[in-house]
Amino acid sequence: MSRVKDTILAMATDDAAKLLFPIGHCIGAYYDQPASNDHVYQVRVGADVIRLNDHQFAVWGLAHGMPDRSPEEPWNRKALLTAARRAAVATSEQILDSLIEDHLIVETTPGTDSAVDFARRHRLIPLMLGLGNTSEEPRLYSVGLIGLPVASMSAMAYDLYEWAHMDANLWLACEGAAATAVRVGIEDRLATDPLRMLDALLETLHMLLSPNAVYLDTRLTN
Amino acid sequence: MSTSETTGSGDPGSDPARSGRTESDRREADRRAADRTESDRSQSERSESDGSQADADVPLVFPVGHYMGPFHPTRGGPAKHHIVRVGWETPKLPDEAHVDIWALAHGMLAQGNAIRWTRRAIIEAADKADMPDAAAILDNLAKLGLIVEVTPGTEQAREFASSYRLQSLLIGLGNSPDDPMLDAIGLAGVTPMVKVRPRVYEIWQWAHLWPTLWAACEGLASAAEETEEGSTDAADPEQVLDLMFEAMRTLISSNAAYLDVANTPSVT
Repeated sequence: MSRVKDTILAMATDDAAKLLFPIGHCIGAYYDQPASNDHVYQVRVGADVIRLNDHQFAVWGLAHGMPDRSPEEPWNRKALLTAARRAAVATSEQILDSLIEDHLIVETTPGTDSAVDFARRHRLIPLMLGLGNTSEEPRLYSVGLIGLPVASMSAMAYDLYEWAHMDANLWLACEGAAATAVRVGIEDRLATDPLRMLDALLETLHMLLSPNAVYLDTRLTN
Repeated sequence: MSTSETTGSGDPGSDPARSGRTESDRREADRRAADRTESDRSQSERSESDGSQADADVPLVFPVGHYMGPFHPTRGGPAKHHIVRVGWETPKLPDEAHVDIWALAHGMLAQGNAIRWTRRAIIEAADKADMPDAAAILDNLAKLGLIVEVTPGTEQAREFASSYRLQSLLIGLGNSPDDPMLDAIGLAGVTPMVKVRPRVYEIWQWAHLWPTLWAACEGLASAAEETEEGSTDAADPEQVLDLMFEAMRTLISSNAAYLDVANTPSVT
């Protein structure tokens, strides 16, 4: 019996550790008839445009996380569905499952092989400017718009913000950043080990996704 | 797709221009066709405001690169420089005066394309804003590869389009029933940074997927040819490039896009 309990506990822990990430660049509302309320929302993924109704778009939007949420709280299935219920999104669980099936939302667990697979399949692309560091806190770098910082991060995360989109996928970007860190003599394992770097990024990525400072796209194939 | 509708194959490496078409795409094409009428008027207005033909031959100035902000090496110390990423390089803006002139080279959103943003226009704007040494700083920015000069409608414009690419920033907010002919770009929950007509929105949405501006012009022209029956200008890459210059100024001046060198990754 205790074995069953352990299994249930392990499954619950696994589910809690699985984070949700939205895929695609928001293209916004599309009203195709003047003075009509008929509309869809569009999301571009690679060379495709996906059209979503209001509820689908709401759940996809919630997968970005919420800016006022503590970074220590994982943005997992339970957190998203709780937020969806508060926002009165009908049938949010079924919508979430269908968006996962359609690859507009992806689940992955930092620290596992699935995270590396996720990183190999996707690319991280910046949507804002780098605002650099400050003389008051030179170890922290921020991104945002001029006069409007939206997120602060370590030098390592800022490095990925600046360069990750130049590689065909996020895993290559982590490997490249780690190799550079080794080459210049950095000893911090967080900066020299691509696995640790990826885990640290994924655990804090919603801080960048929720204010639309970045988006995830499918990997490049060439 | 059980919950959504795609316009393409699902292969991220597929050519955006070859995506499948739907009824909604056709209506979008109609919207772009209406936009072209507006575009013709706008081109005409631009010619008038441009002044003399001689002025039209003077190159436009565009900033190059993704701004990465100041670098402070020590606590309490001044910024050593400001960083801009251009391809795999990071040329440095050595002081605030260079930052100011590079920022000015983006254009002024309020003026849109009403003023041709040439070297002379930038120097005049710098003088008005009490920014000294603009001419010398522009020379230095050109040497650093942080600005590029290009004359639309010339062979040099084609060379430029083959050497640079457009990278999009911000998110699309789309149109609204009250304003169906303009699409907004910005951030969720705040006033849009800019509203653009459908063909400019199309450039913002798609051009970054191609490895060069010229490839984007060819791809968008090809897509227009497939989608819009009887279209002319939109199916001509040279005409798309002309529109691209107008779109670039609007998008770059609102930080909704930046120019990068062409040797960076692409979907196509």
